[in-house]
Amino acid sequence: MIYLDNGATSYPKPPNVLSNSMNAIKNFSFNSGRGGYSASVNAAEKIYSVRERIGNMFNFEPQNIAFTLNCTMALNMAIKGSVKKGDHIIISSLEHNAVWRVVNHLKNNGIAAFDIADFSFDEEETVRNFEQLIKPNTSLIVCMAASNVFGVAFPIEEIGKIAKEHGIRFIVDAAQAAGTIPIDSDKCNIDILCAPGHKCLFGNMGTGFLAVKNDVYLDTIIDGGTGSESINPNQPDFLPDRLEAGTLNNSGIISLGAGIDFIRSKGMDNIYNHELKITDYLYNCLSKNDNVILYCPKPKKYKSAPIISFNYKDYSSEKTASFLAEKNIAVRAGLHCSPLAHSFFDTIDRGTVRLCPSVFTSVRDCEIFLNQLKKI
Amino acid sequence: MYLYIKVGSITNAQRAKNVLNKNKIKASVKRLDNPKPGDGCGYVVKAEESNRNIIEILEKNSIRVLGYERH
Repeated sequence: MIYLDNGATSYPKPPNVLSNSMNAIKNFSFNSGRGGYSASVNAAEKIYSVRERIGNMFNFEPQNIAFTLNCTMALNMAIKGSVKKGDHIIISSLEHNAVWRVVNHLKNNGIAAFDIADFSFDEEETVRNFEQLIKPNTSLIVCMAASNVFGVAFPIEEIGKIAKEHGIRFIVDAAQAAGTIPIDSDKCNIDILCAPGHKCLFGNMGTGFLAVKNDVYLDTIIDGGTGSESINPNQPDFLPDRLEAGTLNNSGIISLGAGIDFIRSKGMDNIYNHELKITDYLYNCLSKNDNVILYCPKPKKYKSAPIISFNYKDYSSEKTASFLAEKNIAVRAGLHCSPLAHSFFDTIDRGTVRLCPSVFTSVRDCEIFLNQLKKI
Repeated sequence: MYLYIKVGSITNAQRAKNVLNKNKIKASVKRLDNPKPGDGCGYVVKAEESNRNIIEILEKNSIRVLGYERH
């Protein structure tokens, strides 16, 4: 199979992720933070070391990393845990349903209103679009680091700057950037970073996290056992326990740590460069095909995630993807859970075909895809 | 002499252990035999040196100390 759907989840996983996952199931499947026997304490040490690795990567304290099942869960916890009745939220015009549906839920329940700031290829204009929407009751700006459909990156450092200037909490959805595009929470004034573990960080599915700055207090949307302060009828007020009710996914979390080790061993910049080289090659070839419609300029370093969206002739995106699937080429078609982004780029009627290479994608894989595309 | 330091959660115990190790103090994570309801998770950091500086080191590193016992 030629796999070009790494935006959905990365595949294959690096060899050390596979071996660490197996080892975790065999040797670290004990409930961390519950038992006093050495196996439980050893499992907790493994989990803590993954918190440290994530903290180092994005500049957060290790105890402020709370593990979740995915990025969507992290975003729900971050957004719903931040707002109070009467608040106003600003999101971008390319947000995933993991943000858009959450703010719609808050609006429909009379809790918070929201406005949408338009993306622009002119970064200054994007920042202005956010700033112009700020109201006295704006408490939250939520923005993706890069679009999961079109790959374009947001100027999160500049958006974070205006959020800080106005005393507004800043949440970043790093679903398509964490592990590819460097993100420093201090530099970007990020209060809460949400990310999946199974995409560019190479962990198993069923992993994700939210990373929280020291002075950020979040209400909880999931309460329960933490192994700490069990006598307390309320959720503990300290992290990560406050945000981690219930048993953790040890093998998944340990696989995520192995994924970060893989990125470190290869060099995040080298991985990003390879993926951009592949997207560059794909983009150049596709742009020479008169039957192909592209929607964005060629992906550029730090301005894009390695993602290309296209359509073929007047075909529906599903028809193109279905033809490719028959040839054993895995791409994703449709709206990619991001109707906002498709409305913005005027592709809502037929969606797009999305190409997401990874560090394991070769030029040969691209040639096979491109040759098959010509046969439609 | 050992110092058993109560820090409220397994994650804080791991943090505390790492901080003490970095300060060349041998430490490990243990569970109290008879934890009281106010002892948090029941996990403690066992520091193999009974020295008040240990508490200062932890507090300087923003680790909340709930209490300690000398053994």
